[in-house]
Amino acid sequence: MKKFNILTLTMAFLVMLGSCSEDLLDTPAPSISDVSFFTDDQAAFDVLVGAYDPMSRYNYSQIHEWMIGDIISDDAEKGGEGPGDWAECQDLKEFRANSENSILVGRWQEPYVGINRANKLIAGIQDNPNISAGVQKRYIAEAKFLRAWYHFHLVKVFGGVPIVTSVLQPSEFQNPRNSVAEVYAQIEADLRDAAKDLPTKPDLTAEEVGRITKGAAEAMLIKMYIFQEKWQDAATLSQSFIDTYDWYFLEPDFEKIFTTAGEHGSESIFEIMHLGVASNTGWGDDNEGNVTSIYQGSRQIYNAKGEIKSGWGWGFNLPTQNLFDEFEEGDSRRSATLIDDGDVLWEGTDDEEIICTQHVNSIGYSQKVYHSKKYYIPPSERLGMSDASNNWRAIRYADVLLWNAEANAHISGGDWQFGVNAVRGRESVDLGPTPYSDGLEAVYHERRVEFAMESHRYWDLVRTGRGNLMPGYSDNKRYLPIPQIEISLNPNLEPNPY
Amino acid sequence: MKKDQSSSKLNSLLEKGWLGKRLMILAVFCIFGLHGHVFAQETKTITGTVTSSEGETLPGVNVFEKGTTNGTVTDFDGKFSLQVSDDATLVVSFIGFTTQEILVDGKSNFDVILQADMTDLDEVVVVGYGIQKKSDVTGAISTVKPEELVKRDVASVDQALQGQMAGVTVTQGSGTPGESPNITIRGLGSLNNTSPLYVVDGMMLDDIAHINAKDIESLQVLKDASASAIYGSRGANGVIIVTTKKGQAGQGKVMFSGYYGIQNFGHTPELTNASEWAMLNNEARLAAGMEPNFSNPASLGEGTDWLGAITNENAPIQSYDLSFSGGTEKSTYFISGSYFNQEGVINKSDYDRLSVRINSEHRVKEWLTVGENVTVTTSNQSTILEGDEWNNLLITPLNMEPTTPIFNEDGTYGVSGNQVNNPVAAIDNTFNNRESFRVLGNLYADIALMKGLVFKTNLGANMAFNEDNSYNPIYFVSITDQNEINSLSKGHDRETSLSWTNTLNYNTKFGADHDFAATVGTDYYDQTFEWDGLSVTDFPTDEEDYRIIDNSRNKNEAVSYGALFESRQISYLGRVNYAYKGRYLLTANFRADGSSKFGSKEKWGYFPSFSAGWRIIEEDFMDGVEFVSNLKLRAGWGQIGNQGAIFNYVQSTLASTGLNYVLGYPKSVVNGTAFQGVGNDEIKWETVETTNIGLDFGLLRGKLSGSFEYYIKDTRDMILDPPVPGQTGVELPPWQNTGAMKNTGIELALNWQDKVGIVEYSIGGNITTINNEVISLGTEGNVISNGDFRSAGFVNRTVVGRPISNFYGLVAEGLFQNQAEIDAYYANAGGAPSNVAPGDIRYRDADGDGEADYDFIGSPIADFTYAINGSLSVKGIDFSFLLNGVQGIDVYNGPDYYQLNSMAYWNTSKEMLNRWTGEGSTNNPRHPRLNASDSHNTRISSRYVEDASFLRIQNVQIGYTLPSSVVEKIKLESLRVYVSGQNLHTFTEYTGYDPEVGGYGTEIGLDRATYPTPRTITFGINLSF
Repeated sequence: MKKFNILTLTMAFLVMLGSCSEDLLDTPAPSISDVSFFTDDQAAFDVLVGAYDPMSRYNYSQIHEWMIGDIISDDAEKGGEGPGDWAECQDLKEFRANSENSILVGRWQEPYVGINRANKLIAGIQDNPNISAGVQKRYIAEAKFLRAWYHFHLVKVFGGVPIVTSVLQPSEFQNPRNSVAEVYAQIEADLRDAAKDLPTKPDLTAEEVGRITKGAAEAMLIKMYIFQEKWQDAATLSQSFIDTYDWYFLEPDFEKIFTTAGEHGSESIFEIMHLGVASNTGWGDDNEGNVTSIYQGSRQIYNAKGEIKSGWGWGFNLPTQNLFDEFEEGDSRRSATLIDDGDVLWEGTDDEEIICTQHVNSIGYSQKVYHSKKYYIPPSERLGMSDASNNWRAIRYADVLLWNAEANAHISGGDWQFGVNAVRGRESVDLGPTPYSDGLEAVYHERRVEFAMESHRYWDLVRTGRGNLMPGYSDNKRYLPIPQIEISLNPNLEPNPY
Repeated sequence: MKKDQSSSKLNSLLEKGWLGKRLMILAVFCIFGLHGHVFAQETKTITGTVTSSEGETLPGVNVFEKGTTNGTVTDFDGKFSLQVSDDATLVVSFIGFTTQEILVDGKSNFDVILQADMTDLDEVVVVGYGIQKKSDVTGAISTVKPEELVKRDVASVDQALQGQMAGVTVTQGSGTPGESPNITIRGLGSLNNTSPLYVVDGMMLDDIAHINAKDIESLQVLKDASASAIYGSRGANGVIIVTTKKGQAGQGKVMFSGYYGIQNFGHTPELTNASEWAMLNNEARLAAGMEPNFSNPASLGEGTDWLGAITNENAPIQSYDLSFSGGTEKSTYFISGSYFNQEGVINKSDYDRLSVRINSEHRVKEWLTVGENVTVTTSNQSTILEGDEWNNLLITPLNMEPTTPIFNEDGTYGVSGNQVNNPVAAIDNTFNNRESFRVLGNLYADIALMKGLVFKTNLGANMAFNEDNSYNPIYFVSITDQNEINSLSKGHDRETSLSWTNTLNYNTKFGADHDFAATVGTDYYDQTFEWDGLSVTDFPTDEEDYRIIDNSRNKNEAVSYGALFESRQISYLGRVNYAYKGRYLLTANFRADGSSKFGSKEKWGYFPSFSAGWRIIEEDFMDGVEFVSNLKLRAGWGQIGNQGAIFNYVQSTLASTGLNYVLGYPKSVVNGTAFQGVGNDEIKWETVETTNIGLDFGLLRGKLSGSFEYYIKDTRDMILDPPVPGQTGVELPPWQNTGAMKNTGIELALNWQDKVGIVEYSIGGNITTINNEVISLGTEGNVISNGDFRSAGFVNRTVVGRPISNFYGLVAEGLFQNQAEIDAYYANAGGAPSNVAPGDIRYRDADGDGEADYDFIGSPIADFTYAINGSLSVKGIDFSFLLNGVQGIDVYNGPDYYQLNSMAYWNTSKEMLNRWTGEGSTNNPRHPRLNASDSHNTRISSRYVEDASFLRIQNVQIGYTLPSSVVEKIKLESLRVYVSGQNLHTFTEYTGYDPEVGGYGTEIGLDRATYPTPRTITFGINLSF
């Protein structure tokens, strides 16, 4: 009996030990890690698309662009439920923002997400034998454009920021800010590199529409010259752009630019793409819809009996009377940009809607406000709230024309009239020559009305030294505060003198 | 009319099935009742005296005939006399003494000597991988008696733990039927996982919500490292060990218990009625220079009670349990089934659960015992939207204007003028449910190898399958509250865990004085967690029967997701216990854990603990100290791990798909991939080091007993993902072992039990203090913000040197009474902003720069929690109560953003009738002036922080056990009926639904209007035969 017990005991121990092979502790993750990812061109394409993705994120490019570009400027009021709704935005509007303002955090971080993704793509495919040479060349060019794009979205808001051109190692996490000039120099270099290797707009296949083109890179480069007041460079490059790229021309019908049919039209140089899909109507980054439309839509509409009903929208970013007044009498762009109380949209169609602005005019603004029309979508195109399918018109050919005019207005003897009058001569606008005799005045007026509510106004004002048109502005407010959290994490970041 | 209503109510009850079930149960009683037959018995009178072992006579001792209510009490001289049958057994019992049973066996005079009661000390306690005599325990272990658990008529065991033990904090965040509470043991040791480990019959689990309280034989909580280190890397948050019931040898036994009750809201926020609100709304608009909306507010009356419109009044709750047990010396069995059903106090929320459990144990050979436990549970939970602060169905009924009707005259839903979704419509269009199926089982064998040496092997499995269904029909309420495309979402998750535990236990005694026990063992654990789901749109009809994927016109464009997580763990464990003369006790535990979740450089963790006990009562010098019946000092130290804080696969930098962009003409969504995170191959468990000192005592013959504990719990290597600078572009910062936290506290539990005449009573209580301090958050200056409310900023802020998740915001000091005060305030800021006027809040500005200061404005961590319980029984009547309370805790009242809003845009709190109306009218920052264009008063501020201390009447129960003489006639063994009340009243200053808010991770104490725990009254019956 004893013998049996000892046998059992031994067996029991063997069982216990045998159950414990260390190999069992390896459970590899069922997802692919970065070490083994870039095996073919398709993998590179996936990561390229991932680098485009942050451009269309709603907290960054969608809302922040018009929040700063329009709301802070003299073109618009914040709107919404009332002044307390999204109070941090109101703080920005009143130039009372502090570095704790949570809007700024996203604005700082998200472009860097895009930069990091672009850098990871470059690091992953450059000289990688698994990736074909043509793909390497084009994708790296696109990545460089994106890197420039994201850096520009930082420098125009915060001024000099740390330049990031590689995947950062921990020792580089606390790099200090570069100067504004250094950031622009890097952006220019990237754009020049990109322009060399990118296809032109007509080269794109139908599937590639929306990808970055040579024209987009050069137009961005003109814009960089304009922001740096490199007037001669801007004039030269814009002139060659106008002369060479004959596939870009003004869309005859101004209003059509902002309709679905107007996407990627003759005037389109770069658009940020959006598409709502019925099977994914939630909020968040996996939704590729545009939220600008719901944000800017009217809170109220009238029904046929004239009663006020809930509208489709939250009534943010309300154009002001001041903007309304900037339009010349008879400028058809006014009715294509602003919606007044009682205006009937899509008249006579199933989409007909009578807009009511009573609510937004009752929340205490000192001047009358309107609704913004360019990103208003008809009921038949509405899906969920976050799912508008209209693209963001980021760079239009009219931009190039007016940059050309602006640069020439600064150059003695430059022909600023060409660009201004070309834009005024658009078929549906047809205003005749500009009434302004001063080149800059003519350009400033034309830019304001042509691009009203397209998120350019704030930067047009501050880069041209006209910031004081905005109450509360002073030169130290040109750049918004660096978020406190970023300064805590990187004490080498010098705060802005806001 | 009335009659119609009642008959339709009856019909609906019949439809719901509960009445049918009750009738069936009644029928069961009747059948058993008819079965009774009576024995003829001879009786005689016996007499006797009861003394203590010291020779004193004992008055007031209970003497009764076993199995009957026939009994008496000894007189002042310890004497008794009683009529009994010849073959009776006498039961002699007295508080503080061991109960004796004496066969009458023809004798008529008895001298009974009662021994001082040591039963409490000889109780056996389940410790990790074994059992120990309670008197030998050296760690901090709390025990709940199963009868205390079943007293509470609540859905699950975890809820019943509330207030039962010092150091165990149970917070019922959401009161949605079927929702589990949050349990923490000795504070928050981590910013991540703070849930204790549950061990049910040897199987490690993440929760015990599916365990039927009536199946529980014992429940122990291991609170300190010296007790829980044997669970190594999973023991850091404490361990709750549950042993389920087994059959007992002897006659078969049938037990039934059931209850039925009704539930209602305990407290609801007080709102203005239609005419009051209209008046406030007008005032706010006038102040902003707008036209008033209402020409005659007074004519509007009460208006719509929106919460009432979605309330399920007297929501039923019911539970029925039936068990069969018995066996022989060789084989025992226990079979039980239970059904539980609870409707929510809000329509469309309910929960039901059916569970079955089988256990049997067989002595196959003298040296071999095998057995099994199998529990199968299936449940179905329907929920409404809660948890967000926008369309949450606890918030919209508060926000909706009382002037809006539920339905318009044409039958369409009433539409808010302020874009609040009509709550009735929202409920009508809500279809969310979760079906769960779970099997928990184990097979075990005990092999006696030689005297004192037992080998035990236990194979456990836990399989859980859940399915979530959510359907969104087409509806139109208003242009912002409509759905044009119907959709169905289904989600599945599956958890399979397997464990295999082998232990060798050895017990021996060297000489008379040295007791020695040792345990060694191995443990293997494998967990697979997989989930997937999809959603499809566009159904031809919203009919309930057609909600299957194949009916979607869009099924080829389904949005889908899926993931798989697998982890394994191998462990070696050991324990040594040594006791000298039963006076000096030593315990050492050790465990080594290898886990697949750890980085490759940190595959193994080692967790030691040591503890010692000194049973002072056994010392010679205590011999003369009569009033002390137990005295034991304990001290322990140990290190344990918190592996649960590590997510799977954080070692590698992984590709994420679905980071899409739109390309093409026509457009399509194109997959994008990115590496959002950064892997850390050095990740390991969080280490918690605890030191515990405890004192157990019994005084006055055990009438007063209690224990006191002091502990220090240091967490280090705390797993955090401290933010990295934004310029890195890293979207998911790497997880690192970089934080540290400290919890200290005392726990005191006291219990007094005594008997006065025929009245037995007890009163007890416990108190727990927790001091939590964050010692390190990795990166210097790291601040963890959480609790985003209305995208307006974060409410919680965790920083070094403070307790976790304090509230952070502006300090609302009072109200500006006049323009001069405003001008002075903003003097250094270039003048007052245009939106501030007298009656607006004055936020603290210590440095006088005209810019309000941010500061810490409250703590959601309680100073202490406590509970008081008592019981009283007189003959067959029993009464018990349990109060539990939390003191020194703050809650951020989220809904007050709306209900105290100066715009009076949403329905307002009644409090706002006391708003500022002119200089000197009030200085309370909760009640500023009304102003429809306010943007000043809604900042995250102390205005919304309320003292949420509370004392709750958690449970009161009155029962009556029928006398055996009556019960026996219907051939039952026992029969008890009772009335019980849960959550009867909460004493609190808090104005929201419920001060018990809770939270997870670093978002704590932010009330987004969660589903409150209802007030419940139940009627129940327990019987056995």
